[in-house]
Amino acid sequence: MSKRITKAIVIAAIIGIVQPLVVFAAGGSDQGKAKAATQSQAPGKMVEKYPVIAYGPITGKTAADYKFGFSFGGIASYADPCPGMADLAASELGIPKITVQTPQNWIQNEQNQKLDGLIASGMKGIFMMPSEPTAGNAQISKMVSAGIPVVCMGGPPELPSKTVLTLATEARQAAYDGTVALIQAMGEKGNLVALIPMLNDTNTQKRLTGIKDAIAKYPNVKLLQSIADMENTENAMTQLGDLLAARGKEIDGIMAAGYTAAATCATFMMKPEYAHIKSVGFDTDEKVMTAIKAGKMTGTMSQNPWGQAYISMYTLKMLVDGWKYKAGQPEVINSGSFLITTANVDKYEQMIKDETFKIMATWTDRFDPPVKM
Amino acid sequence: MDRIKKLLRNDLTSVLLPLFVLFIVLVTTSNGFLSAYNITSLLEQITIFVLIGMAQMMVLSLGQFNLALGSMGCLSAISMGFSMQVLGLPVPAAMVIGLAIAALLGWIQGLLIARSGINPFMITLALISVFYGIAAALTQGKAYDRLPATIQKINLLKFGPVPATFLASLIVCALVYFLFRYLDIGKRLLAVGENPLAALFTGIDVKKTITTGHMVSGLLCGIAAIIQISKFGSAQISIGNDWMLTSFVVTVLGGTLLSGGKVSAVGTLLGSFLMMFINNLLVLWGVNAYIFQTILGLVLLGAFEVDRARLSIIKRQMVPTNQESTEGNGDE
Repeated sequence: MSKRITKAIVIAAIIGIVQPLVVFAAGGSDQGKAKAATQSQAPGKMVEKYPVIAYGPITGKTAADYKFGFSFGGIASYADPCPGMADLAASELGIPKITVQTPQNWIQNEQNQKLDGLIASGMKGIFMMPSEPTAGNAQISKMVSAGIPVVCMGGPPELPSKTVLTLATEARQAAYDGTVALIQAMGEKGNLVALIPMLNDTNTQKRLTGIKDAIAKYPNVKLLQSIADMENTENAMTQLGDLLAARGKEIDGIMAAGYTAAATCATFMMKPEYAHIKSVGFDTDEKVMTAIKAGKMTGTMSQNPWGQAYISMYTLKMLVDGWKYKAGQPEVINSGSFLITTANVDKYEQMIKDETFKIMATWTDRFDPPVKM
Repeated sequence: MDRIKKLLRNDLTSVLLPLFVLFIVLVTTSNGFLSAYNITSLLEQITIFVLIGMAQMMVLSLGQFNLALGSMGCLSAISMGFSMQVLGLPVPAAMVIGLAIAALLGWIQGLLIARSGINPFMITLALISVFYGIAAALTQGKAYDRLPATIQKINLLKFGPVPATFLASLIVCALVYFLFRYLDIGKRLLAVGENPLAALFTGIDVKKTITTGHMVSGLLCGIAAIIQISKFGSAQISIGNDWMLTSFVVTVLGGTLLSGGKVSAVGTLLGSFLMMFINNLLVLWGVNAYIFQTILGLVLLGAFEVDRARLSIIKRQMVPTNQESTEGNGDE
């Protein structure tokens, strides 16, 4: 065999060998990441097992019938706690751990490939946040038509939808409450800037509506400017930096209604030249929490990704066991949002656990139990 | 041995070989690969890859790039959504409008390239933002999601696990093949791509050919936009934002030259399958999302390297050295 042909075969073989090594070196699959998240973030058992929910596979089913997949709309720190909490629920329920496949970008076609791959590899239930609320509905319909129950979390698809239910923060209300808190900190007067995530995010339009509705209640407060698509840290730093450099003295308050926006805002608020600006963020990035503790930010609206993932797993287990979501129950269930300030910044994790436990206490009441044979 | 050499010389070998290998790997390592659900899903995705690949190939034949391919699809989709939801036009009329607008966008691009003297790369780069900006301004970021149910039925039509849209993409592929193989316009496109000056001296209207090539590329983007709207059930500004890279990859994998003058419609079709199999393999193996793109890039580099190595082998074996001519074929 000639050396050239040998070389070509060796190159192909190297690719075949390197690929799994790279996967291993990068921390394994998303399963490995989920395991790491469980080990670092699990707060301990949050709720007791519910006697009405069967532990492990029911009669006539095996563990393979309880393989569930999770796909968030795109890579985002918001979803980091989700695999760990889903695995915690799985261990309490006696079913396999979650399989995670998330697209790198918030593009529905990319997420569809991940979701189709999950189903092809044997997942029997999906909980997800669609990359795009309207386009995601078509994929949800396709999966449900194939007999796969779907629960959404983080943000609903465009309604009506074939998803069983959505666990999410009531985006408009959370933004409204956060903006009211900000305006009150501003002394109910002045110029306010809104920083919002991607325009095609299911929650963005609702958050913007909530901000505008809150401002409308205070005649001496004006929405100076809103900046959208603050999803990429580098771009967000540039956009906010330019705005503050140009109009920093005119700005009295910043409502940063997104994870990246809030983290970016927190970075700038630590600077003494912006001490006159009040700000409220979204979610609990470390920079935001540090800024609140230092008194540089008024507060942040925390959501409940832990509870959303945890309750979603319980829901999927129930659905596969034969529970049916009752007609007339809401399509979107508020998983809770909390204003975190200096007064309660050290207690917010317990607040979130308490809220999740409160939802779980009556969760099975929303369902009709399986028909007993 | 002669048969193997002949097989290796075939341009499609560089895509057929890895395609065959990947297929075997997928079948043996994933239980769900051959399920009806997965086959349908794969073919639905491949449909878009084929159409945008054909669109890019039209312009690559000229030795140019269509970077604004995704934006053309986006604006075409938005115009169709606007026609259906705001103007209340029936689906066929909206589709005609969308295709006309897509072709017009391509024609504008071609005209600018042919007449302005500005570097074609810069023109298509600028038009990405222009077309997308118009779409964003029209929609204000919102989707046209109250479309007639008829448009979604296009995507739901299937023959067993095979979507009708995939069959439509095969027809488009056949038409493009026919265009390049038998029609004068195809020969003119390739001639301009091979050597514009030589083409001019042979009497070809180079500017008109460039404009026509881009216009057809736009039209194919419009067809892809229709399929995408049907799949999503809505028209939104995110349509087309993942088309550009894929359109280059599937055409180059299939044997189309970036420098122009040589295209392969069948190769682009097979390249679409290869791209989809690679994606499917990475998903089924549970590759971490954070390094997905890295792995994808490495695998694609590997595919190009195998192709380059194959061509190098062929060239060496076609040119006898003094040593070989006196001592016989030492490799056999």
